[in-house]
Amino acid sequence: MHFRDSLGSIYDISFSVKMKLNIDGLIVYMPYDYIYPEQYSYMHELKRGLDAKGHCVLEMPSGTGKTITLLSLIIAYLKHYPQNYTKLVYCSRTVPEIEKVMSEMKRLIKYYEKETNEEQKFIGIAMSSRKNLCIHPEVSQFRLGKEVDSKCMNLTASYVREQAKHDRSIKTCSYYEQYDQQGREFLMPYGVYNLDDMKQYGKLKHWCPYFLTRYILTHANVIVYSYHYLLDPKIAEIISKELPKTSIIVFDEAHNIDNVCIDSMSITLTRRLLERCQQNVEHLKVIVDDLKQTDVNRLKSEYEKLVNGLREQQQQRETDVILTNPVLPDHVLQESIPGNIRLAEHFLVFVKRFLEYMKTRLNVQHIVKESPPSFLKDLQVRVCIERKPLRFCSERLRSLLRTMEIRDIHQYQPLVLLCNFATIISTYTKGFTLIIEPFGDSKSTVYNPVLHFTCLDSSIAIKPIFQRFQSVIITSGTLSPLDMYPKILDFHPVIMATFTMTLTRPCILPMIVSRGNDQIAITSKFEQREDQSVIRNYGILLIEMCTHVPDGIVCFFTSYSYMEQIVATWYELKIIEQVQKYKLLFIETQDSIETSLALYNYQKACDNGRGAVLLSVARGKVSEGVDFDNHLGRCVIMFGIPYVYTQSRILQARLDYLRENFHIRENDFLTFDALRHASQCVGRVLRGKSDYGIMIFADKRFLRSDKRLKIPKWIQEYLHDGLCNLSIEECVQIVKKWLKDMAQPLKQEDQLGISLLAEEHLQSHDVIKKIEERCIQI
Amino acid sequence: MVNSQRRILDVLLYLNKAVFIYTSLLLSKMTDEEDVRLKVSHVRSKKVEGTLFMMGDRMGWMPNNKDVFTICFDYADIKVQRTSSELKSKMRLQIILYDDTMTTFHFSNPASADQQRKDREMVKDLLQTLLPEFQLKMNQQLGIKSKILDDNKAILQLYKDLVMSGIMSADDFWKKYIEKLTENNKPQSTGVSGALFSTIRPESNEKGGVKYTLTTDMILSIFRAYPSVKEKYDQNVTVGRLTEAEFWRTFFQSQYFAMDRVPTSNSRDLFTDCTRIDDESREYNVDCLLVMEVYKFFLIYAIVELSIEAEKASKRTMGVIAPETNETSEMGYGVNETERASSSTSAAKQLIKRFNFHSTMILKSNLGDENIVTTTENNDNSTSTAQKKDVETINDDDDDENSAKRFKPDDDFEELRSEQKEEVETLKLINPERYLRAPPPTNNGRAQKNILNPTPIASVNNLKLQMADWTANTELNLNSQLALKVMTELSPGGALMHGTSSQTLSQIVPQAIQEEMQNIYTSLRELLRHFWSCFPPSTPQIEEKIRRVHETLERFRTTKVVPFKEKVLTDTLADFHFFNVNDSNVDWSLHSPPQRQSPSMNTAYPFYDSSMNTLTSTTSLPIIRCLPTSSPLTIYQRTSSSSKSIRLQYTSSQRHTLTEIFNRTPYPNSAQNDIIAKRIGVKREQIRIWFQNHRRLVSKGIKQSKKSEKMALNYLPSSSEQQKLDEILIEIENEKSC
Repeated sequence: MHFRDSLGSIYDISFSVKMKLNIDGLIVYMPYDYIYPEQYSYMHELKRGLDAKGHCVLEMPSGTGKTITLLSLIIAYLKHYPQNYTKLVYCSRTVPEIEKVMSEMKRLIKYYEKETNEEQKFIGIAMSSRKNLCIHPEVSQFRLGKEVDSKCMNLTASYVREQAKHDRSIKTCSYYEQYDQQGREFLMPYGVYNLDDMKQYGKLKHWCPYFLTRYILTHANVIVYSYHYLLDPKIAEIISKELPKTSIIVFDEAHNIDNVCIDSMSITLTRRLLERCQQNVEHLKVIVDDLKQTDVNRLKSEYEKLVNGLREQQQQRETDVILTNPVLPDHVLQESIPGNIRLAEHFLVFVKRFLEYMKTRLNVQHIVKESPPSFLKDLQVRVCIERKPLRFCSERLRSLLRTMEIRDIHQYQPLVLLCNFATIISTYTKGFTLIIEPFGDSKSTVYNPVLHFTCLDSSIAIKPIFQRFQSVIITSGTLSPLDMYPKILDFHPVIMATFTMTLTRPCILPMIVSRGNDQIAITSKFEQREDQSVIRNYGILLIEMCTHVPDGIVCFFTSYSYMEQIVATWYELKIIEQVQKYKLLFIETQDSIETSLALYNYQKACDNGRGAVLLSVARGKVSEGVDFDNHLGRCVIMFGIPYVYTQSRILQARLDYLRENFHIRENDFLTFDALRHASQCVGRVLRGKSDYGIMIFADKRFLRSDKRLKIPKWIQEYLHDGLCNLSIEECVQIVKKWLKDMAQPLKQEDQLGISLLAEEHLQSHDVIKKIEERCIQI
Repeated sequence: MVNSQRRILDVLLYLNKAVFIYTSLLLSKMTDEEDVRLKVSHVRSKKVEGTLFMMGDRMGWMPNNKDVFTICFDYADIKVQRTSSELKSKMRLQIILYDDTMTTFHFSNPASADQQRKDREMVKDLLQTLLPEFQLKMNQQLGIKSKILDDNKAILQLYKDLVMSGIMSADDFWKKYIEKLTENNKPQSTGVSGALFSTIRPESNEKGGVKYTLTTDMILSIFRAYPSVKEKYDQNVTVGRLTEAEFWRTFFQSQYFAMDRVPTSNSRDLFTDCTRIDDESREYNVDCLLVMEVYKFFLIYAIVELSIEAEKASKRTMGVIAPETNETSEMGYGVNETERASSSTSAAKQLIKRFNFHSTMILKSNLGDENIVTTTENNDNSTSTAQKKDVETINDDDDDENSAKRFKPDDDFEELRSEQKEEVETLKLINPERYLRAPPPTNNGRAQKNILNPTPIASVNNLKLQMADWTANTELNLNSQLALKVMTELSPGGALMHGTSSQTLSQIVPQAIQEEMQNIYTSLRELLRHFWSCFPPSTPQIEEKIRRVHETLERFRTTKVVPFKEKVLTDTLADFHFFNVNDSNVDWSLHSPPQRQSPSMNTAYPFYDSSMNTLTSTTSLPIIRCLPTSSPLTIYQRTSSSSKSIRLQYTSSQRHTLTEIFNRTPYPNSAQNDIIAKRIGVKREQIRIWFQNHRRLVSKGIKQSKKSEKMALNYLPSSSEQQKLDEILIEIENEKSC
């Protein structure tokens, strides 16, 4: 036995030597043979931040292994200082990203086990919606998340199960039943579980993976899930309520975090939606009337409960809480529900009255902008609805739906939305605005009134998180300018740092192309959008790139309409034809199915060597989630600066609010927003150090220092003056030479010691010093 | 206007005829029949009258009374053609092949000399046009061959060893790589240009009409990119409902071609056009309406196709694009700012859709072609095509899977890992005995079979019997401490291992010899592979091949193995004197520098022998009778069993005898060598070498001669030995005259 063990370890060593690092006295295990210098300094900063028990804002270029760096350090920290921190909550954006984090974590834990030769007392778990976790043969077939949720509710809600005890014909979910009987006292074996693992485990034990996961969240060491589970009060209440104060919260890919915050608190109402609310109310009324004749006791007991102010029973079953209060936990009143909406029929009448009022409000001929207080005042004057009962709307509706034992709860989504709106608008007086527009599209003439109830202050949603948890880490590949985030999210970080990429060869080539060969400045300025010469120059730039750059080229436009306009003009100018001579042309559209098809074919065309061009939009889907690594993206062209649509009233309101409350100038915010999107787009092209790509900023406005200096440091570093203010011709010459250089094979030996460090490099002081010098701190 | 349209019509008609000819040509190529490009009668070869045929890729000559080609060669083999001078009366054409065989044709048309010349010119011209083509092909092949050699060092070495030294013919050698050759040779299918339609430019002609010029290439590529167009073409034109010109005109008018037109307005366009034509002839109308239907169908087809594709793709990629949606981020919540400025007309959107569709179709046409090729290959067997299709679809799915992975963030930082060594596959022997020991030599193949496959039951019974009365005999065993002691003494550094050198064999053997050994080994392996690939010999050709390969093996032995062995004996063994290496060790190392290979080496030959024996019994080929008793490989067998015969130490008396002989006859001839060898009891070869070495020593001067030699000089032989020596000397003296 002993013999075999020793052989095993020999085998492992010969297989690969992984790293153990010493970060300020903390031993960090890193499951790779080498480390990038920036990862090393990232760990240092992170460690300092955790030591200080404060929040951090860290920017590190994409493709430098942020995830594993974060995981290695934080898990080492958790192990070493269990008294300071107990849990890591890792928030990411998409399911694939979550999966990626899980696989990195698996690798890390495997390495730990190998090194320490013992099982790690560690549970890492990924959490997602029912849609991704359900294994029920019928329910899991549904495609939409809310359908799955409501079908699940139909099978697992406490009252359904109660009924099923008496009535055999009522179906329940066997997975949940099994879990309910056995799973609650169960201690999950240590390990790292991604979504598929959970599903498999669930199948094995015949337990519901979703509820099992939710149960395990309480004692898992690392939780990986989507932003929404923390930021959206509607779900944060259910899922993340029990997280201890000593958790470390990480927001990865957090460059859009302010928008997520705002989205989670904003509501849009249309006329159609209100009509569906009306149907819901009528439907409910019928049910209440029915119930009154058959089972008065139920209504009565509900009334009793409400009188006693039992806001919510503590022993309430987890499966029932699909609807929760849309406001943040500390804003929820601990009072009992006011008298005038305690009775079910009273409440329905109340809602109906509110609904009618909303309908009349939507009936506008011109744009209305209003603050929540004035809205409430108007409400009181005209239909005598006070603020207080309004605040309990969503709470009361929840209670009612539960009492009614409603099935297929997703049908009541419109009504829930309306009640949530009522609750939010009556709870918050500041940081919100109400805009009613008669025409959904500013330029369309079809009468379609829309009510936007928008959160203006992204700090509202995230504030409880900063207050509750000791350390919140916000990180992404593109966070520049860093100082904007603390301002708009209203928090005080202890560490703010940006890291550049150490490269052995200049594998990114950022360029600002500001004029065409005819010396006409190129820009996507609003006044010059129709200008043929600009569009033609853009076209020439694309043609030139198509002729010289191999494989894939990705282009980003500022908006769909601008792209459509340009493509149409290019077609007339026969530019498209010339592009098609060299590469296949694919274009992103607003239709997501068509876009994914285009993307799929684009990738196929790149793979088989045909080469392709993808035209897409800076704020579109492609710009956020898709990586164009290696041959999929050798060149990115950013046509214009992707400013938001500045005529938007919502944006105007937000800008005003930011100016008044945070002293952020309009222009600063707009530029910040535009440039983070631009760098996000451009950053798609580079995913790792052996990759290489060209980044072309095709707008003369990028030249101005207020924009140029807001590009992330790791790109700025290579954007020296010789690469600014180029004409198309000059740009082509540079590209030609650079591509030749890049085509040379890259050897690992060349990188060692410079952009790739082995363990022995970290022993030497010179290297450490160099790393420290490189780390730019703000 | 009408006239111009008519004219266009005619042009298009002509073009399409060209297409037809071209496609029929393609078709005829695909069928096995060769097309005869030229047929010239009254051509004589060796004074026999016959007919000369020039075909697609070869030419042949058939005597008048027969119906087979008696002379036939591929164009690819033709090096050059020569014609007789104008002054001579006979019209001749000489064909010289690459292997320098010459064939002369005499054109003897009885009509006239002019006719003869004409015939010859025709042949000559055709050859002139064809030859460069085929030479190019040849060059390509050569290029591929040289590329294979350049890329692969092992093959190059093999080529050097086997082909360049004349052991094997080049053709035989290349047979193995022929698949590779053909594979590379398969022309890469050209794709369809993305700018397919843009190359078709409308030109206004003098009368104000619009003219489109189509070439066959364009039409073909349109068909390839848009199979539905082809389908409709087949349906309408081939049947005769429409003329080609009409078809293409409607095509250009349809939105299939004009991408930026909005479908609704477009269909009206088409219709108005149609009605205009309607004034001219009533028949047209019907057709045009029909065509309109057709294009509506195209549209639907396109949409359906798109949606199917989309479904497939979206399954893979949607998860990547769409951020994780939660219950709440669905309807109603969120800022939900729709793109406000989506003012642009639906035309632009339509245009974008068309571009996407166009690119997709073009991409598909490329990928689709490959599929078509593979399916046509299997066309004769419908079941196999079905299977093939299944396989393809599976592959397709795999492809999709991969592609989906591509877009997902990779969870592995390859760069951060050290490059791992490629895992070498180790040889796993299930039954090592079989490899280490040769099967017992027997002349009867069947009997051997029985021995090789003893029935398991019998052996089990046997074992049982043996086990029944087996007891452990521990008395003779050493006790463990003693055993351990012996083991330590026997291991390197121990008392009993003084003589051995701690160097490994691979260090002792010079690098050059190791390499040469390796080369010989690989060459041999290659040859044996050829040899074994012929079994079982089912056709005469294969038997012929066996014979050839056997000869090759023989040649290999004489030209490679034997010289190498000698070289090793002379050169290296001398050096080994300096190491106190055990004889047997050296032997072994000599023959197996890559130690791993040694077992297989030893086994390869025995099997070869035995199989040849089997062959004798079963097929009784004449070749087998001339099979030598010791095949090339017996060397190895012998060396491994009795190593003394190679490295031998002469006794003092032997040495004395040899020195004496040397003093009389420093240059013994072969007969003398024989006698000495016989008398002393070693091999002739060894004697020869001893003399060689000794001559060298003497020429360098006696001072440098080794201690042992001096000892030999001082050696006092006994009387009987002296007598023996005298006898030898006399015998040698006798042989001198021979």
